[in-house]
Amino acid sequence: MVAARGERLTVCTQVVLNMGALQVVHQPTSMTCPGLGSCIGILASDPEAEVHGGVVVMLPSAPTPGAANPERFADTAIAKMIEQMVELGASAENIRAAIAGGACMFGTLSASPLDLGARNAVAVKQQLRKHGVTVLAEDIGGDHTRSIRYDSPTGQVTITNVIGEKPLCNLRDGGVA
Amino acid sequence: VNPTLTLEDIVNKTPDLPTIPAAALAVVRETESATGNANTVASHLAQDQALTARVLRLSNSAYYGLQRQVMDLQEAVVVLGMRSVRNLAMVAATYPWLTKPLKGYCLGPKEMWTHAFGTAVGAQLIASKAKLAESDRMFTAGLLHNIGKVALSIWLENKIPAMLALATRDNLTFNQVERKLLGYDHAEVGAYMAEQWNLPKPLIQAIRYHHEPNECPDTNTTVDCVHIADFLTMSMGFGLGGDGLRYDFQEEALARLGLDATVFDELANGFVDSVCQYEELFQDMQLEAA
Repeated sequence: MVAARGERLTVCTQVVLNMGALQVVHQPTSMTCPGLGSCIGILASDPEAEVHGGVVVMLPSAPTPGAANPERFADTAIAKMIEQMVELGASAENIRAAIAGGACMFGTLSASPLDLGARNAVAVKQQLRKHGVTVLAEDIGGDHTRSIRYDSPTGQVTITNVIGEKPLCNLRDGGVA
Repeated sequence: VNPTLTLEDIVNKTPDLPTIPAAALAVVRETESATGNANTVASHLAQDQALTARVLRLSNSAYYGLQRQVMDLQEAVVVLGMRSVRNLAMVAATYPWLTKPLKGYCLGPKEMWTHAFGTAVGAQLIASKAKLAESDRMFTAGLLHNIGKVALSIWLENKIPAMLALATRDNLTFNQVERKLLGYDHAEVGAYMAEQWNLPKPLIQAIRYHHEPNECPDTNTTVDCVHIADFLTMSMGFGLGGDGLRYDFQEEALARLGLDATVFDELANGFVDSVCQYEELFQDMQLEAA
């Protein structure tokens, strides 16, 4: 790519997060959580510190303390992501997050333990609040799949589903679409 | 909308319809029959050299962690068991076409495979949780449950947004919309294909009733295992297409297996572990297209 005169070229790391994957970076990034079902993709950023993180959680809570694969569970995954972001220079109170996913099967009764998407959503919001992280915007529920993407240079968070693409919010300036 | 199509029309007019090698179909029938044994399974498989080569490579994958290399089919059947070899034969037989994109369902390359393989692994896990005697027979059923989509895809190209709108308007599941549009859903089309392949009845029923296990006329634990595994696989987002999760879940399937909704989180966690372990099957090799 050739930059036009005066234009600043930003090289972005491309990160794709599948279920149970966690990544924290201290550089410009484009992070995507593709094909979400009941899992929830959490993309977070402290834009001042230029520290960005993402994780895709599949269940609300770890079955036992110290359980394997802490990245899979909302309680342990979010704690781990925030801890790693702070280690790289982020301040928890400056972190903004966008979340997506939490779908369920058609006609699942709310409050059923089988509505995993809703249970995940409650747990994720609870954990983010506990760590002092603001959820700027969400695209949660329904019975369809979607992807969420964060481009740190612009701050833009985008949701893609089978119908198309739509902006969700901006983690850099705090704007909500 | 073309409700005048027959099942035969749909299957016969679909170009590039997948086939399963005759040797693999014979192995499936053999392992389901009372007379099936290591020798007959090996001799059926040996009729197809390409399939045999792929099965041997899978047998020697890191997943099985064998002390020494398995050199021939007889040995593979003895070491791994005839049902494991049957499952490997089906993986080798279906991988080349299950990895192709299905535009009609908005599935990219390998997404159909991810879903089919996840359901295969999940069905086997659920059967073992329910302490069913032959948990490994569920694998093939899981692998094949959505084969009808391979035939229906071309008929649904560019129709998904309109189908979802219809589903929302009339409060229908996606398979109900397929029936409204084409006269048949992917489960019926898949079962018809399985009948043409002369697959055993429990497998045909698992394909036919995987979205509505309560409608199955016989007691068939394979149907219930595949239904629950399909639910788990969709929930975890393995190979979700434009139809998403717009299907019913019939909780009675859990009850028939002596399970209930409270085991779901444990099942989901174990399911993802199993899928990750199984990925070792493919770690050191690429199954070439047929």
